[in-house]
Amino acid sequence: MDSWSALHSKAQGDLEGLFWDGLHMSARGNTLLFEALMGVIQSSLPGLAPDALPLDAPLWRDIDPKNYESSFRAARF
Amino acid sequence: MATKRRALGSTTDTGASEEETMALRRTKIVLFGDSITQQAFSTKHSGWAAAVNDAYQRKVDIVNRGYSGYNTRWASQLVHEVSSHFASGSPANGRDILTIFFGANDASLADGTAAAQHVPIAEYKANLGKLIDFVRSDHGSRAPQIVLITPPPVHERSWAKFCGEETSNRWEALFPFRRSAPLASRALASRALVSSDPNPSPLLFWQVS
Repeated sequence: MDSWSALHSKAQGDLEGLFWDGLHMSARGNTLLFEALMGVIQSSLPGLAPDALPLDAPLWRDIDPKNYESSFRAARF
Repeated sequence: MATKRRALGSTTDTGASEEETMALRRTKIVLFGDSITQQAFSTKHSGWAAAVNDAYQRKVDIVNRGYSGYNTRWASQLVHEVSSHFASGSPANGRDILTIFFGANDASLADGTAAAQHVPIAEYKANLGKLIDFVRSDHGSRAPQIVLITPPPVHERSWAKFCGEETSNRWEALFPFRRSAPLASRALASRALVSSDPNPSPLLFWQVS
């Protein structure tokens, strides 16, 4: 999973632009690192990708306004 | 397995067994690393963890355990606390994630201005292995998935300027401008570690080429 290499090619030689001080990530570097990490999760841990995970707690539209406690009892996390 | 959630005002005792009542909780992603992790919630620089947090709204709790200046040797003193975040309850969606992102400080020159942070390459590799082994043995089948992130290169001229130096004497020759760079070596060590692991972790790796 050589995602840094994808980042490297995306940087297109502009290494300086990836950092704000030469070491720590600029907005550009941070965005590329984020995308690389999400790519690793998508490819290696697909069950933990954002789209694979449900939202926590019932959606508000699914809560019975007249009997809201039962809606929570029935819900999984 | 149904969630046993204790609502405000609830007085019901179900009398269920401990296994049944093991609280399901949100999945966690714990980020363990140095300053590149510590700063990762930065809004000023559109930090990478802030973006991860955004992507996982209402799905995952992101925990930042980034320590500026730390190398893998000092990280070993904190791994107990880091690992403890996976202990309580069971992740509702199966597994948690731990990212381990060290090496930028380990790669400091052994005789430079940041010599105190230097860790030899063999120890760096061994330390990473110990961090991973600790977390896995701490939680067994409930251990988090581990994503090992290798150190990125440094733009030496920019860093020297930032530090107010003519030339950076903080690191050894720096990748990718100089091929024999210790950061690159550390990246390679991380890859070697993963390739020799019977249960390899996903790896984010800066290619040396």
